[in-house]
Amino acid sequence: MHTALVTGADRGLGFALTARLLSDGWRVIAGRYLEDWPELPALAERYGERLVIVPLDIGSDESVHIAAKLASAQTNSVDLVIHNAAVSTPLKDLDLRGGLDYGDMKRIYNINALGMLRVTEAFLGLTDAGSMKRQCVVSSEAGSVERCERRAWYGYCMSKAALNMGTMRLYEQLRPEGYTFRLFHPGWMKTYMSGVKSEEGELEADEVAEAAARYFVEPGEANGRLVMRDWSGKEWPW
Amino acid sequence: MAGKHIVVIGAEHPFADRMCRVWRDEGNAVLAARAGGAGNEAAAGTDELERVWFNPLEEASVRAMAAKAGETMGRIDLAIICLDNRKEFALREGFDSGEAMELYDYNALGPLRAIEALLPCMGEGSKRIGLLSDVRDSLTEPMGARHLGYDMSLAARRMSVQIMANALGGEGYTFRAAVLDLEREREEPREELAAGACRVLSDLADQEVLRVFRME
Repeated sequence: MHTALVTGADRGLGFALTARLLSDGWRVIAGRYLEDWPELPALAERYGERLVIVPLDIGSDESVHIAAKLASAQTNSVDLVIHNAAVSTPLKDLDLRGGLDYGDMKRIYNINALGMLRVTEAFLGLTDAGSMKRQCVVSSEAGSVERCERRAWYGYCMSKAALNMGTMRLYEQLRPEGYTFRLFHPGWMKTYMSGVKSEEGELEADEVAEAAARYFVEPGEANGRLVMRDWSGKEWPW
Repeated sequence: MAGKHIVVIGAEHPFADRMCRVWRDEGNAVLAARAGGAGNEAAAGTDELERVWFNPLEEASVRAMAAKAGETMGRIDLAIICLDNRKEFALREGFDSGEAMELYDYNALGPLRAIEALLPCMGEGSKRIGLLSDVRDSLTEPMGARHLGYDMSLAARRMSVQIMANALGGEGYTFRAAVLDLEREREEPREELAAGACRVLSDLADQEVLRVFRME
């Protein structure tokens, strides 16, 4: 049985991917950020020991290391990691004329860009022992410099551009060790990233999770190079 | 180019210092804004460049630098950014999220703080914003993972320049980035390359909103 780690598994795409992998027979270590959100515990009742819920705040070194220890107590290896947890901000429309909130920009970067690195490093012992060595990163078109037409959203777009760069550099470092990567833009989804579920969006999390799960578990590397693909399979430029 | 008012942010970098002198020798008014703290004044040496010290991590210090630029120059035609702080670290070799955040704060947010503070003085000028960046900001060329945090901060900065161009291009602002090996130029800045970077960053005849030049 394969084992996956999913960050931000409480709700939205992370929860949908967790449910999908469980229904496909995987064991899932689900990183839980929201203590009182009910969906994961409900899923645990259905899947029993195949779902391991660990508290996980990817913005905290300590939390990530504790989560890795808890996971190590349950399994000797992790085959696939889905870096899904991310945040947005109600301050995204601030611009240079009105004044940017640099504290908020650092908060977003700490989670969206550095969170992936924390989790990757803390779980290396488990993923090194895994059979797939697959790192899947949920990024965004907002990280594509070439396609950027926004006039604000500085903190969010900068965090996603940095995430893409970080993924590229890890690809360079870990690929010779047998790791493979998936970089994914989920499309315009109805997300909880601002705290409550947004009804603005074209896609439900379940639809995206189906496409994402297929892309994440399929074997091999796409043409031997790292690319960012969206839910429909389209490649996005850097 | 002569008679322009130029602020160079991060002029403590030897390559940016060379550029300050190129522009000054052409007959422009140059303010060398050098990043550093108390005690670093001696490192500036004795030269005739107008200079100011500031801390790119502190908004108050950046605003004070911009106020000094306004007092000294009145209008600003060109704001040139050369903030470059790098450290080596990679996964499996002691990745430090605190250090990675510091690099983002300095290399990516520092330029935004500076531009935000200087904008009120730029409306009556030539509206050119220039950036010196490092070759490691490329997502398409393999560079190795030893500068993980640094490279990420450069990608974030590259994005911020694109957004600034989108936001301010309609007001007549133009953006130029000169991409070069800043580490090599820190050790031994080349006069010819500095002159070339000055040319591409200050070519005001070209009014395309954003251009990026790879300097060899």
